[in-house]
Amino acid sequence: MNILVLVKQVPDISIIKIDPVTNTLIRSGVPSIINPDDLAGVEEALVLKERYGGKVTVITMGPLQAENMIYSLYARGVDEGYLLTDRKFAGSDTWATSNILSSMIKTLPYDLIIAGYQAIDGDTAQVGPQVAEFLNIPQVTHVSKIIEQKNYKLIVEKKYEEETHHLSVNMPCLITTVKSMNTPRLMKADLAMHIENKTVHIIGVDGIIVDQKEIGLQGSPTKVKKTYTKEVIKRSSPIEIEPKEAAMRILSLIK
Amino acid sequence: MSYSLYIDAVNDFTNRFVKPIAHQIDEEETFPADTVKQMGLHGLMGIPFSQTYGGMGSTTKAYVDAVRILSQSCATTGVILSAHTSLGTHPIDAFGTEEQKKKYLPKLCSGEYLGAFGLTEAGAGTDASMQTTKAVDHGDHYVLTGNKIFITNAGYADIYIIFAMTDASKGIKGISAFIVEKDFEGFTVGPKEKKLGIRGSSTCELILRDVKVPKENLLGDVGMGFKIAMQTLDGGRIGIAAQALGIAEGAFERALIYIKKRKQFNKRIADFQNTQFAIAEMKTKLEAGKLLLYQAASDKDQGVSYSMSAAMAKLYNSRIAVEVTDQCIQLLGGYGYIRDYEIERYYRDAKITEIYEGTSEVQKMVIAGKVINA
Amino acid sequence: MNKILIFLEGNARGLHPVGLELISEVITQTKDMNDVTVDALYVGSHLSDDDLLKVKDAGATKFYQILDDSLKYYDTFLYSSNIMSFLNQHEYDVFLIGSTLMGRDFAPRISARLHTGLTADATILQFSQSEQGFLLEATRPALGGNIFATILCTNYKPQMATVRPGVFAIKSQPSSSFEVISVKPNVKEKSPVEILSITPNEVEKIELDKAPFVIAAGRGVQTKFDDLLKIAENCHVEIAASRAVVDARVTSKSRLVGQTGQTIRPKGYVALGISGAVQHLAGMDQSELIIAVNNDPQAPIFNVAHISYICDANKVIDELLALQNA
Repeated sequence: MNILVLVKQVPDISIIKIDPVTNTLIRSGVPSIINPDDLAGVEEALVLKERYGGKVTVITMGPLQAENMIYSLYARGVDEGYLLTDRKFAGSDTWATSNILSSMIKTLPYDLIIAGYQAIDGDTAQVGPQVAEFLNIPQVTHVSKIIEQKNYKLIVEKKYEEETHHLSVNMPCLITTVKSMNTPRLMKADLAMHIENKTVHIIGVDGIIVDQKEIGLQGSPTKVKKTYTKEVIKRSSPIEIEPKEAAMRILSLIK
Repeated sequence: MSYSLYIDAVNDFTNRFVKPIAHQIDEEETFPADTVKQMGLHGLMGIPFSQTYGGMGSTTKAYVDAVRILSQSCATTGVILSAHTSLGTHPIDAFGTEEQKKKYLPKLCSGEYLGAFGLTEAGAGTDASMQTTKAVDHGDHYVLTGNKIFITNAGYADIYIIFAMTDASKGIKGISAFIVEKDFEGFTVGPKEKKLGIRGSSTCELILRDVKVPKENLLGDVGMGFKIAMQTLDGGRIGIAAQALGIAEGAFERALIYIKKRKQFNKRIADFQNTQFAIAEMKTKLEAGKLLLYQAASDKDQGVSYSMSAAMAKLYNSRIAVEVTDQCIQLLGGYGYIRDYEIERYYRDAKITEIYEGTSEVQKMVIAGKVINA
Repeated sequence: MNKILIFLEGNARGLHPVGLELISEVITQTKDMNDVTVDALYVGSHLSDDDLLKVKDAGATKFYQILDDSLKYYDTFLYSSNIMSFLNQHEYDVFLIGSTLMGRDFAPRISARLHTGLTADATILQFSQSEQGFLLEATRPALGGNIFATILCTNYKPQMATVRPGVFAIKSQPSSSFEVISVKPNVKEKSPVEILSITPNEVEKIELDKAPFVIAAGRGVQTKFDDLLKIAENCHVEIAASRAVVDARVTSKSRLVGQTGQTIRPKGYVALGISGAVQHLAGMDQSELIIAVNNDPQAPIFNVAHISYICDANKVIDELLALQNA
């Protein structure tokens, strides 16, 4: 089974803080991590590879430093990795990003594409389905479990708010994964130690077939007008109080 | 790049498998068998051994860094790896025949087998030459009888490197080494000792009653046992130095977090000069210990004599482990005495590093011997 | 004329409120503008009379229904192709969809196919009319709710956005000309996805968004969650939880309030032992009356609370139980 996994390196937002003086994000010193939903997808891919044989390839679009992420994925058992990096890709919204990614994917063989449901920085959940659309393949988003592959169809479980569906999707297809679906394996120390035996394919705009007017900032249908942090309002000043008094006041307010 | 990725892998492993259960395995004195299995699955059980035999093919430095990082969270896990690698596996790698290496190393390196080392006896501690365990030659096999005490990984190990007297008349030249498998007839393990520290580590007596050991399990030549034991312990002490340093570093990290949060007299205690001086002294000790550790590891990897540097690394790191953990408890005050705060365990764990695999007195004998007789 | 289309999501139980919330909000914002119509589109197998009345009451002008038995359960291919054929025949300036599992599944595909811009999970919508045209400025949280971004799509139509449920209120402002139009479903082609089985989830039915009073448990009180459930039995409040409590498996995700859970605006919200991380505030800071109890005087929750108490929330729970039993 040839599996492609779309991965993204993102800042660890659980550590991000806001500078109380300037009210802007403190971006420096925030470590980068593999987007959790994507890492769950890599884990699913590796499990499928163990079950059915085949190859797991990861693809990411990002700055050059994302190469380190691919090496750490190699240390988990991923076979091959592509880093799409080029100044011309900068400023891409999800449409342009999906355009770039699918242009790369079109050059590779695949039976299944796995993407994380959403990235913790952009929070859009759009790239997976948009890539599926560009490639004209079926999709199931927010998969809770991969059950099996049978007769070149993928059987998956998708949990909606009140019911759970078991679905059979024709392959090749794209699914999006959520971090709650598994506990991703760690790197193997021996694979990490010998990581220099492997290389990452670095691909720029000349390595893919794409209309340069449809990438980057200029190729993005959406543009960011502005970003801002939420004003820290202060509605009340905290007062010290005995628990019994607090409980009485709360009970009276919620009756 | 690969080395820092390797260190990340060891840290991630420690955070996921070791740190969350360190307190519990000490409280309940349970051997972390699952962690050992995971260490095997993550490629940590054969770090300094050749890839030909399933090892990582890496350096002593990489191995000691693994022991050190594990010990920062759990000294028990650190010693399990150290005893397995330096004491249980190294002798086969260094002195084994091709057949023995092919038979045992792949399983030890993959973690399928856990290794251990049985030298110490009731009457033979620092004076290891006073071996009373006997090995009688019966033609196609040896028969071993005797008792070993204070054996780390006992009861969980699959193979034990056992030292026994093949010819009492020859003194230390009459000691031989054997690879004893746990299921050999006549071999049993006694109950676990209750210890001050590294309470999850399994320390037991080994009871050999007419244990039949096939001829092909003689390790090295007849009479070579003492030399094998001493050379093995030289390397083992680098592992223990790493464990000691890890214990000190782990305690130091915890104390650092505490002093930055805790306030008294309207100041963080980190803002008091006496605290700052204590931090400075401890930090310097840790750095010095690390340099001695890495020097010993480097000497071993370069193939130069490392007995003295290994002895210095263990002597110094075990001493600072005891001093730093003591100081750290003091910095935490009352909280330092409460078990749930996970710092007093470091103090209890530290002490053994001045004792096992050659007491600090032995290390001093080694160092003085090298210096004076040079 | 400027036209806005709102997608109405439904399932076997009826209409999802988000569609009605969007109609209400859009009409409120555009009712004083020149010549702006707000239409609604529903895809499914049937719609109850009650739901039809709700759509009318919310104020849509033209209500398009695409009904067929094969559309009873959501399917990416069938819903997307029907919505696409509809959009190919009707031009809209703006197309809004609820940011639900369904909405976030098909909206990106539609936007990709139409080569237009899509903003995800907007919480603020602003419309403007000028010589430049009819513009939607959609503002959304990013970086886990730490920042907000206002997004524009100036060169393509329809400007699309998925919008977070529970942010806007449903208002009764029926339009004078409400028309229901049935659209022929496009179901000849078979979907590449087949539904093999559907099983209801064994989840307690918790309607946090309907409860007038909510008490929320944070990490600081997670050991007393069962006590809170006892308190709830006796005084008609619903119990919610922060992310830390749900991740610790103390309770299920159905009680989660926050960025990745539900957004609610109850009359009263009592935050016990909750520090007030940005991700949590996003789900409740619009509540009418917020009471926060925390030991830490610096807890960010105190910034959004109307009443802030510094004390041990665990003890407050003990006292609440004692007062109830008295």
